[in-house]
Amino acid sequence: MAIEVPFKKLRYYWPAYLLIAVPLLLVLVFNYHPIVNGMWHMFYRWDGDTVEEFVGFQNIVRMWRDSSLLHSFVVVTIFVVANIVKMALPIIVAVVLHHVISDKMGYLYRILFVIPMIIPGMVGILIWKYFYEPNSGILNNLLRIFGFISPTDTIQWLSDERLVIPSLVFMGFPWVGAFGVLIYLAGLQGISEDIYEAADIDGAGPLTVFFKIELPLIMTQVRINLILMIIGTIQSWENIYLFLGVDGGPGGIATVPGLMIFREAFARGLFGYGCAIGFVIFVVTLILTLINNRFVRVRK
Amino acid sequence: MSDKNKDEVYNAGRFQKLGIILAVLFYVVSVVMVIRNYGGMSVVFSPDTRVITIAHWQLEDGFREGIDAAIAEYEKAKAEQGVKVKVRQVAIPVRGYPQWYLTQLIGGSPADVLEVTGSSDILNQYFTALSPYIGSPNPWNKGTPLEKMSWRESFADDMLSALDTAYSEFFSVCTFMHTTRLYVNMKLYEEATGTTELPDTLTDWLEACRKLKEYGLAQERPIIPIGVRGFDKGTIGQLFSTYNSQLGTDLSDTGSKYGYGVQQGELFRQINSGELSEDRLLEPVEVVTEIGQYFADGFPAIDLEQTKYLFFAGNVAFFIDGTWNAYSMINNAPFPVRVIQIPVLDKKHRLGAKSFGRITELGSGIQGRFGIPKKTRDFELALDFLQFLTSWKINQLVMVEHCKWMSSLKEVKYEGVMKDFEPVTNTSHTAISSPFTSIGTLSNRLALQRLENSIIHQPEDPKAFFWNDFLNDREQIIDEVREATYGVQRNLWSMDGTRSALAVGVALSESDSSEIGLYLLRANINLEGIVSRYRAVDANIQLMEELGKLKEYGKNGD
Amino acid sequence: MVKPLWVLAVALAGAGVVGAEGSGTGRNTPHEALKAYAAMDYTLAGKLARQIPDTPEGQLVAGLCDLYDRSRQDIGRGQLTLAELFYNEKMPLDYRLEAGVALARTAQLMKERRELYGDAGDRYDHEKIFRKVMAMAPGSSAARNAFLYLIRERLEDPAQQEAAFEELETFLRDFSGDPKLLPPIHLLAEYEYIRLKNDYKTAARHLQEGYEIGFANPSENRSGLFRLAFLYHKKIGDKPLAVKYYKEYLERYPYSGQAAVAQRFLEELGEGGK
Repeated sequence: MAIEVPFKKLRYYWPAYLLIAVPLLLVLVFNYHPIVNGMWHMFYRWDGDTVEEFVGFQNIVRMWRDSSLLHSFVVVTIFVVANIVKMALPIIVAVVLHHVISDKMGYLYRILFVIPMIIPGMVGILIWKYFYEPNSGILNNLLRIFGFISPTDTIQWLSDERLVIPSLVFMGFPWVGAFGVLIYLAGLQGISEDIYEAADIDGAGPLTVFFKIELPLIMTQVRINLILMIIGTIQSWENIYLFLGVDGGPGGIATVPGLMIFREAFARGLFGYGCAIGFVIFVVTLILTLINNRFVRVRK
Repeated sequence: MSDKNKDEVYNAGRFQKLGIILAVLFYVVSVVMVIRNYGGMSVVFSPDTRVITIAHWQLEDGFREGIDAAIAEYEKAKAEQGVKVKVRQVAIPVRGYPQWYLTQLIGGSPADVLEVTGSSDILNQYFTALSPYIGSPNPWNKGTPLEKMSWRESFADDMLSALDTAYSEFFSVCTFMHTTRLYVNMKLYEEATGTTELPDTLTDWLEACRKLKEYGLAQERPIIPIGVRGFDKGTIGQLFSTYNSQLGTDLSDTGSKYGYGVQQGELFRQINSGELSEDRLLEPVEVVTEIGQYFADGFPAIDLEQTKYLFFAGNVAFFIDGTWNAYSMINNAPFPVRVIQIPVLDKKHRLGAKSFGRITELGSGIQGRFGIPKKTRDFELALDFLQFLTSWKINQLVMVEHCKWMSSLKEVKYEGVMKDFEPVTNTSHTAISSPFTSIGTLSNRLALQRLENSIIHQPEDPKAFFWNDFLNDREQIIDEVREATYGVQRNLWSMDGTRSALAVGVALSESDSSEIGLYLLRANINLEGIVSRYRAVDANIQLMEELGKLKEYGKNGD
Repeated sequence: MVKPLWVLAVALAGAGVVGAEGSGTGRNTPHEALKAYAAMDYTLAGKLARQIPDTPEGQLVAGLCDLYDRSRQDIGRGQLTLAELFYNEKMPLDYRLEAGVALARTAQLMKERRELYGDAGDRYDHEKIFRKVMAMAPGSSAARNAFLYLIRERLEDPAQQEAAFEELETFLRDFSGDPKLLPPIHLLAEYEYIRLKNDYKTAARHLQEGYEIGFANPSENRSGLFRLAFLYHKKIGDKPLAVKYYKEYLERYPYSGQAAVAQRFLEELGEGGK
């Protein structure tokens, strides 16, 4: 527990401060310095190295005129909304797992959910890429087998402008990641048996128990996951890059802000502009986090 | 403590000991791997061993093995000279290479011999100019047909492909040559067309593709007449470039005020004034759009490995690719494979009346540029190794024997299937660049995307479709040119820094020494480069002006 | 426990400071500073120059590093140092010339990028400095450089264009130095005569003169020769000279991509080949 130490006596606690100083320094250097550096360079024409020309608000004006940046925010909004909807499934699975009667079977199901976590994300993406491959991919082959399309037809999941974003949203089906399930399960397991007994005595059905007891009591976990999901979705771009390349698919249809930063900085050498886009992402993420904190309340 | 607790503590302790043992074990393995990667124990215990690193993105079959063989020869040769040398090879996948390479250069600890990519500014900033070294013979060519030639002259194109035109300087040397051809699945082709005679003209090729498609429908097989790697737009770019040259090579006679060749600004000026129709620049779009109807569905998302898989699975008849995959394409296919040139746009085709036929490949296709960063720790050894790699005997060992690629040097004879890849030299027309794809990285990317869209949507008038979309991207392209102009103006400052350093070098050197001669030579090269920068600035200004004046398709030159 | 740690820390810091000072001023530091600068090792050159600020070498190198070392650029200070050096008649001529050219050139470039430098470039009259350099050492490479930078600017100004072309011809005619210094001027002349006057004949003459002296860059020689032939062929219509230079091109550069074109043009001119 923290205690108040008079300023004059601080020097007697120097070992503690020395221990904190090292990680603090590392955080300042490796976390805060790049952020401040990025915010500084958004006002520069910067090539990532020695070319640094102060251009004032030129990068911000360019962002304003850049229609592909605006489009990228629309795309990422779609992904955020989709991911919010997808959050429901891990909660449902966690609740089902929580109510499994047999301990052994519950344990087994938990193991089965955890095992896929060991597969690296990149491998998963490549598998999905093969899944969507129009000529010999699994999805089109299945559709041919079941007669939905003819043997010579192909559906261009990643090349048809109308299908790219839905394909990316569908990726990861059934969207039941072990991480989320385990977090919610831990929350559910923290609910006292007395509460369930009381609900049972009051004649509450399963849905009432879920909406009135279980969901409110795991709201802390839901909120944390929501914040992390929003931040992660807004910042992520690697999946799009691996799936569709630096252009973000046909006509750049699936470009997200993170991919734009990568493209402008590393493909075009406009690091200053990339920093400016990064700052906008930071502001958007901050606003969404504040909204989340204000409106997604945890009622105990 | 109860017995049960003691057991728990004991078991927990056992697990911790296991954890520590595993951690130590992994640490030891890591240390061994690092030492091994660094060059082995011989380097660790032998501090006078000079270590250099060569890095590249060529993951194709045979290349790394070829470089390993060259390294073994080099280390042996140097040992005979009494010099202990260790050369490490680092291969980075092409998709991440530009970013990795830029980070290495900015970070100041790049490999000593690096495969180069990127803009002229990056080359000028980070790589050593090789002009002072290319005028003398390559010492490793003693006893070979190239013995009496200067290092520069030993290359098949006199090192022209390695020339950075922006700085009139050589920052790299080329190590191999590639040409693009069609690999043909003969089994599928014969089944579908009933003949083994392969198409030489575009008309015949399109006819063969039509038959292949019909065959696929009849057999209910997903036959792909033309397999392309759409993911990086490489093949589309290659086809566009080929037909653009066949249709527009004569523009080199009038496309620049200053001599032979084209300037984008001048071409657009001629379009604005009505001297030239935009159709001349757009005809290759129509050709490629027509060919594109026979590409695989969803080709933009298909990368090289997937296309190769489809080819080996027997579903692709023609695969457009280069020598870089010759080894795997021919050896790994479970059916006979033949190699032909990209069919020429013939007079029978509706656009072929104006075609100039095949374009010479003399002096083109020479690639694999390797340079030495300024921040190398051992320039002398790096240069020596680069000369070794581009010596007559070793270049053939790596490229011809191991990779089944072509050498970048003169006096190399090819046999067998390699003969199909030899460059075309019996024509008198040269390649020409398209203003849509040669302005800059962004404009090139936008142009290829546009072309891709034209292939996917198969519009009624691909030329109008492409042109009007080009006008939509105009602001971005002008921005790019403006940025490039700032870049040139920055270069002028950097080049003056170079001038200044050379002037100080002259002041330092003894008169009549070879050193002063070298400084004066480089000073003159620098100033000639400055003149070419002036041309670049003026050309960019003209380009921006003319781009701004362009009108919708069909309304230019009114 | 604390005391020994403090002693150790102070000792290490002291050793670091001593180490950072380097080997101190050596007898050949001026030479080493120049050598480092000539090798474009700005870090070492700047460090050595700061050890000898009162020497001409130190001033020159420090000023130049301030201008050209992008990682530690201080243009104002660099130009001031070089201006002091340039206007000090007691300094060695070579150093004054280089200081003058660098000072004037950077001022000129700053004026071309007012959106970046504002009016900072106006501090120095670059034209006056270039002319002074030319007067101080006519026939030197510094004078040649100064002239090239100056004349390009004058040619850009429509009001001064004619006078500038005259000055260009006078300079080339009266240049008293090594002719090998002139090809870049001829190259510029060729370009500007075409760009501003469409005068292909004079442009070709300059290109020919530059080519005959020899461009330093082998690729410039190659492209210059082809261009020469092309200008005589397509722009001027001088068949004998065109044929002469196409044949020379084929002889010297048979492996270049444009060899095929040279061959075709010779056939067009009825000469059929080598």
